[in-house]
Amino acid sequence: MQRTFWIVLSVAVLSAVVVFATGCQKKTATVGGSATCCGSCAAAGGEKHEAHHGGSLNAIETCAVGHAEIKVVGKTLSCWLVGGENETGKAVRTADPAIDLKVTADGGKTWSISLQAKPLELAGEKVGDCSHFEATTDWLDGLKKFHAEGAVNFKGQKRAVKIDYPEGYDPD
Amino acid sequence: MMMWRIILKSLRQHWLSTGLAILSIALGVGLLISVVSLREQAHNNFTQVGLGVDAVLGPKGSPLQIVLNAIYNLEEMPGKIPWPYYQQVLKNPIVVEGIPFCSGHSYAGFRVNAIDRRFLTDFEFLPGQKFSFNPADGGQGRAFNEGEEAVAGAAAARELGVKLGETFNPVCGVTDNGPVHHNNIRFVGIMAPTGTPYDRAIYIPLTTFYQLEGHEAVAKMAVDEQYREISGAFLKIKRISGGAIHPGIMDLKYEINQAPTAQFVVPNEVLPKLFTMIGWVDNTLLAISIMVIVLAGLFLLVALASALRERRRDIALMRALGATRTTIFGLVVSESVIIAVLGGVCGLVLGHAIVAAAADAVRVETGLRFSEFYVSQADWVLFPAIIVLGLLSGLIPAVQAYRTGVLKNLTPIS
Repeated sequence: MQRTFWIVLSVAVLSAVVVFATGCQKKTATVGGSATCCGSCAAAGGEKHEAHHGGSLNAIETCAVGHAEIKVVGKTLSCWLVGGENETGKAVRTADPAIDLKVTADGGKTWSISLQAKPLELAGEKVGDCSHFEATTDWLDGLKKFHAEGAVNFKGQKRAVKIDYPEGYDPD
Repeated sequence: MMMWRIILKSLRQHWLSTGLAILSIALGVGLLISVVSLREQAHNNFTQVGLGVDAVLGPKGSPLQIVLNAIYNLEEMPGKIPWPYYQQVLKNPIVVEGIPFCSGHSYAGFRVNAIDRRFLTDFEFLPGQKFSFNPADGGQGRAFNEGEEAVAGAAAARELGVKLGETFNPVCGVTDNGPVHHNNIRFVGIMAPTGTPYDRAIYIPLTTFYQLEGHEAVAKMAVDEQYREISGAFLKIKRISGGAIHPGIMDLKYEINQAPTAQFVVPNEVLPKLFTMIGWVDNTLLAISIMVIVLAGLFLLVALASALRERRRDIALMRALGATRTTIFGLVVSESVIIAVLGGVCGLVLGHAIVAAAADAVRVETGLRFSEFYVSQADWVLFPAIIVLGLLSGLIPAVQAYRTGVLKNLTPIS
């Protein structure tokens, strides 16, 4: 009888400790696009910049000036010109009808690509006043990692665009 | 079996302190269970159910304000959006359907929303559930047609004592002191209760809104689609396999949010912010209930320790009859755990009873649905936590009992 008593007590204590220890773990979930953080904001303990289309954020000159969000799906490369720092959800339009890039694959192979303006019509954009660019080409299919360089009229100046895909370009 | 009998006899012997310890634990646990349950259910109501709206197309302004106005009949819409823009959004391949509405009017404290008739006939406020006017479900009459007809949500109808055929005059604005539109709009239907905020409003046809007395200028504008305006629209987004929302919603949201006239608000993204804002309230309640439980644990400790003083002679006698120190230790700890578990059981019942009482009040006030049978995280961790509490509370008295000297306590008192 005494043995049963101790067994019951031990089982109760053990199950209590196990359930309590495992049951209290907080569940975390992420929603929406990926997030990156430039050097300066990370150093300052700042909030991460959200890539609103789930692509990679590439600073245009510096993180404060603006970003080019790059996403490759199949044979199509999309580029959204967005604001600096934590304004990556705000489109920045350019008068350029196209953005020309020189793309270098991880193995050293190079290509040229011209991203054409693809206006966001619901935002009232049109060619010549556009923040969204796209290009479709066969060699993009399966290209997992690349570096690209070009230039774009962005916030009143011709600025260099450097892209490190998929990790993002961050000079800060 | 002997051990259990000894424990039960001891509990009966100290029934007052045992009862008070059980009561104090029950109060703390009841409070904790009810706070966690109400918090989780409120969160689910606001974020997971979605109330049939994948997204709201609204004017520029606070996204939270737009959701609260469009779905929960609270706040005011910060502006209007042009009808042609809404039509343009409908052309997007991932937008399945849109239901336009105009808010900003009221009657006797209830919002009067002008909305497309499809809201009453096709809209699913919960998966697979549409509004009903069937008497078997608690509804009356029918959905409105064009003209000066209206239907009332169940809660609005109940509180206003609405009867079919009666007429009312909506007020411009959401307070009672606005100008009255003398249109004598007739109630032709009362919606069956849904337990959602949709129960707390009156609905009129969108076209009637434009033709309300005093809306002559608006009516002239509305004739030409180019100048027609709406407060917003409920949007239904295309689903992919598994019922998940089409991932293109991210791009659509981004695109619309760049527009100067409108914004795309996903209720399930916005409403959690509301909880961040009011999170301190339930954190405070949670902290209070945890403190009550801790105090109950301390009370249990004191009760056991004082009971032990009276039982020293009994313990010494048990030791003399062959009980080991460990057995005595186990007896006291078990007694503590049993009291804690009894308190936990009573607290569980009390907590769910509090939820049942609050559920009715909250549903009447806000239309949000709570269930007393909801099993929250607190329910899952309750008994392990209560056993730990019982163990901790019983530990010091148990050590005291463990150390009780046989000879000293068996010495004749007189």
